[in-house]
Amino acid sequence: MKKKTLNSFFSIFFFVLLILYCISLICPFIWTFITSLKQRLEYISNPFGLPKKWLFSNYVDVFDALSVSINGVKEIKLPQLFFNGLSYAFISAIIHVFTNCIVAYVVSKYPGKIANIIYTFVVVNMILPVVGTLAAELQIMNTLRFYDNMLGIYLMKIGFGGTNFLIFYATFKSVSWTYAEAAFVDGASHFKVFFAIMIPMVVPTFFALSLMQFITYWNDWQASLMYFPSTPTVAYALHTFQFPGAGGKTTGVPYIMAGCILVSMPIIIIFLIFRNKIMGSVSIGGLKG
Amino acid sequence: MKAYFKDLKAKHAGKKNTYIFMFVMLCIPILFFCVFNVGVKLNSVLLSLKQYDRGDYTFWGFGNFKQVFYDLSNNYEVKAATKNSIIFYGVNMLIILPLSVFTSYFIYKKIPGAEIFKIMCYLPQMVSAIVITLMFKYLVDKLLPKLYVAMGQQAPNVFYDETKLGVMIVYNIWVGIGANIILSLGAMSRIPDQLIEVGELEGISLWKEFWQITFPLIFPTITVFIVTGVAGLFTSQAHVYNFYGDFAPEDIGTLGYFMFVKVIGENSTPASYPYASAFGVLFTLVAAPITLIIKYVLEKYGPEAEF
Amino acid sequence: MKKRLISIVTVLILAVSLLCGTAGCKKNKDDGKEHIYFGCYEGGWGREWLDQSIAKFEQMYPQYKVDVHYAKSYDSTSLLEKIDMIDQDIFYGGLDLYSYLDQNKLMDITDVVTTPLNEYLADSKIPVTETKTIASKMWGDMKDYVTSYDGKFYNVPFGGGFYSLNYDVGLFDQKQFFLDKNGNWCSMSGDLSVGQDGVAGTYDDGLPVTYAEFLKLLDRMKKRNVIPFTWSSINGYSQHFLHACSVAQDGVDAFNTFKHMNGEYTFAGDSEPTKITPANAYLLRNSIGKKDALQFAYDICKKGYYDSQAGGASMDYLTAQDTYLMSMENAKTQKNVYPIAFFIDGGHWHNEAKVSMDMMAEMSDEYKNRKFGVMPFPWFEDALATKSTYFMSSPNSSLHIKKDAKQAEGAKKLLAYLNSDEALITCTKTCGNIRFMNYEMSSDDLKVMPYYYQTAWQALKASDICYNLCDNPYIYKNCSYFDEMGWEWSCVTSDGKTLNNPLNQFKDKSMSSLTVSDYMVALLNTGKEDWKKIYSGEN
Repeated sequence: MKKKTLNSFFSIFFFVLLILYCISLICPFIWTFITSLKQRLEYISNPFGLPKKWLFSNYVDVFDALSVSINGVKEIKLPQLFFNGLSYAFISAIIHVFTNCIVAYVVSKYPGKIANIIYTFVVVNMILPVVGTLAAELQIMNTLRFYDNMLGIYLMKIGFGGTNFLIFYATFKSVSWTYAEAAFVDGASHFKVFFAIMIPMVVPTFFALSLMQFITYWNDWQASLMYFPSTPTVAYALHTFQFPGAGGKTTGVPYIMAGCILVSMPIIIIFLIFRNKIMGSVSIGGLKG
Repeated sequence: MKAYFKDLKAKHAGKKNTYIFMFVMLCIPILFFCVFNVGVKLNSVLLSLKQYDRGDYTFWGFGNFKQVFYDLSNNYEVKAATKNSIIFYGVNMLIILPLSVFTSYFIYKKIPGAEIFKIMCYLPQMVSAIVITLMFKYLVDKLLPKLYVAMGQQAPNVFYDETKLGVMIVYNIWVGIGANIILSLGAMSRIPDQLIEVGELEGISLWKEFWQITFPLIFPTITVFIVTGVAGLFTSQAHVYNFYGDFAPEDIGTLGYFMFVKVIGENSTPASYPYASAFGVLFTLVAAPITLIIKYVLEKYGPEAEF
Repeated sequence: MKKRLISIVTVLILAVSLLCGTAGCKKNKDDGKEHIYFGCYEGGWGREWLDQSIAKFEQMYPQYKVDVHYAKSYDSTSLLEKIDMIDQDIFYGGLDLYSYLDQNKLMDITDVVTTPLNEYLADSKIPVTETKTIASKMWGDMKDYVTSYDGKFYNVPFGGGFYSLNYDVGLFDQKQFFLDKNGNWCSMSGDLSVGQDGVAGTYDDGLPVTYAEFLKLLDRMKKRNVIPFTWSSINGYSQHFLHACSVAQDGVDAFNTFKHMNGEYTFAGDSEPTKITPANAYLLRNSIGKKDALQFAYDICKKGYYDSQAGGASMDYLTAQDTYLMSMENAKTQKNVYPIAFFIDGGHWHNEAKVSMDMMAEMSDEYKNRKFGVMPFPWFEDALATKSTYFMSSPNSSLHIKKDAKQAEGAKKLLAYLNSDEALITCTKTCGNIRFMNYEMSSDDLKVMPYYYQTAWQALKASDICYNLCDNPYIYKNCSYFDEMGWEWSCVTSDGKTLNNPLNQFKDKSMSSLTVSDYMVALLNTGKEDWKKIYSGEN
């Protein structure tokens, strides 16, 4: 498609609006970054100007100060928090996306009553909202001893449904079955066809969805609060960091802002590297069908 | 649906092997689906009929529902939450969704700077909500009072005084624009090129092209947004928890926030689970027909698109 | 190429996770000593009080090494759930004593508390001469409370926050906000009035005695471009502050009537006193002091005696402290910014703000040795108190040892030492705050403390102190209700609105019609409702 020139009042108006919106998005980041380099009293006297002294050392300090205390007796420091966040996001994303991939594959390629029931369940689940189930969920988790237990938390990610399922479903629908038939003729098993032929064909979708899911889980600070308080993630740590403890040297708004930058940096970098993978693969592959 | 009833035999060699394969692939996911999806929902219904008494849940009939009905008409916090939920839902459907679709459209049309817009608009989705919240909170709490003073007015306590609802609405719009961008873009990018080229040859404006070509073609996707959005009326916290934690002023919460704090908040106990579940069950009974009606109406009266 | 990039990034993520994970683990070195593990809440009292005392303790008992774990938050309930699984032997933090004892999780320390310290610590390398027992030093009602379970001691009360009007002495001096003997405004060098205690040469000289005088002071502040008040977004501090104001009006006798739920109280407008019993103690939510404190909040808000950022979402207590401290400097350099006179917070604020004060001292010489002071709450006309009265929060903060502590002997010795006069004095000297114990500070000890804590010590020594604990089961079983949210200011109005912090509610424009009497009605009605649970023992 050609690039479009702006040729009407509406388009110019909306274009300007978009520019303003983007400025409004970037300004807080710049303000946050600048604030993160200030001394804490300077933030009080000069919240909007440039720092007199650019204190990059704040980042070193915050690395030490960003921590979560559990039961008031155990302190989880930043490296461990990063590890918790990374492992939670990484493992959960892989399990969640892989489960959807398997189920969507079977449903799309092995049509029949079972596939039909599953598909119907997924669609009904999406359309019929059942709300306020958190209490019931926590109760079941407690019964199964999944609460505050990482293994249980990961097992719970073996669920399917929602847009991820539909995207995989559509992707598999669009993949030709000819290769599989050829393989069956050669004596390949169903498992071999799936792992050796079909999976490689959906790698871009798999990767994009995993990445998006990874970002979602990395950012999800409430998960730690709700399901596994003893294994806090870095996003949850940032939430608690805004409530200062005793007045140490490393408390105050500039440090909170430095924490914000530290937590979001990995995601921004990953996104910038893979943005075309995410935005390309899902959109094109995702909704064909 | 009929399309899926095909003879398995014709497609796959060896019926037994096929079933073994399907069983191996599906048994664990289905088991977990049954427990954590179907099971949780059923348990929610059961829980709503119970009460907590010294460490145990006992059957209580409709006591929780009575309390919910009572609170819906008498409890100030619940009434305010209901009102706010409707406001935030309206904002979502009438402001955020159109803005989001327009934005996607402009990016899809590759206007100057489209690539940058795409990344920028996705920024609030990409960065953790807690980061965005903190940035916004500290910046606005400093900036807005200054603006008030500059205009010669008394500075408000932004997140606690009468300004709070307005600020939260602005925040929701601000972070929400990029929310549907990936799926909207996906829907637009599957519009066949020849359809657009016809329009381009005729030299129609972006505005006309949107309404005449793009909108009808992406309408099914928009339907999905609207239909799945109904649940948001009852579940959305509208970022209130991010800003206030457990202690939001009672006239800013939403129903989603109210239920969340009942279960997760610092002062929550297992005794409040049945009450929260009753809320959920009741809202499900309200939300489900609304969703189905909206779906029906959209499918029946919405623009039809075949390509 | 792309595939390789993907795999490199994946491997990197995994590698970083693993590295981070291993970096998170630390192990203690084997130094041949017996380690005592100490779980310490790091609040406004900081660390120095404990670090110094531990250094001394390790000299006294070289066979022990104390490993302190400082934690920013301390949750009694979740600690109770996990206490068997963690290393710590001895703890400092808020304690829900009865729930720990019901589950048999605390060590009986009666021997430590009732043996004279010189005997209990006789095996110390440095001789201990103190002949008192710890029990003999505990504040009366505190002691009654901690022994109320079965007569034994399981914990030692620690210390809480005291509430007063924290004011900037330097600003008062500079702007002539002190009163002289003739009732004229003057600086600190003037012939100061004697203050609430009626004694010249004490901490409250030159400060207003009555609320009428105080209102004149606030008016003068406004005229002289000084903002009277600021406070943080943490409701607890404003709530305790106003409660302290109420207690200061009612006085210690009325407070004890409430605490023991036994006695008489004459309510405003009544000619006859009402007999107070556990069945009707909620009536005291409508005490004269409560009404006066609400009036105090009302006047601050309605007359605009506060900083525009007060109570704002971004005003966590440290930012609020910084805003207060920096207001002096900002007023000089910026337009429309004025110095702030009073800061609403617990007495620990000054120690907490030490880092900021040091930073300001580096900024300019005039901020070296800044003086802040403790001002008693002025009396309303109908106040019952005849002596300055202060309120202390967090009465359940305590030192305790877990039941099956691995290093029980060492932990008990440490606990004994931490309650010796020497350690109590070290504590007050280093962080200024006062333990729930009877002990004396010499004038040399006091001299090294900041002016603020000198005045605080004087104030507390010369006044009545009130705190929400005694052997009344309605009180100690509902400690969190009486000391945290609940009793003080939380209530629901007749149209269903929740009120919890008068200072925020009176300045909220959306509640502009709320009056003091509306608030009083809500307090009483909600108190009556709450009482159904408290009195029936449901809570």
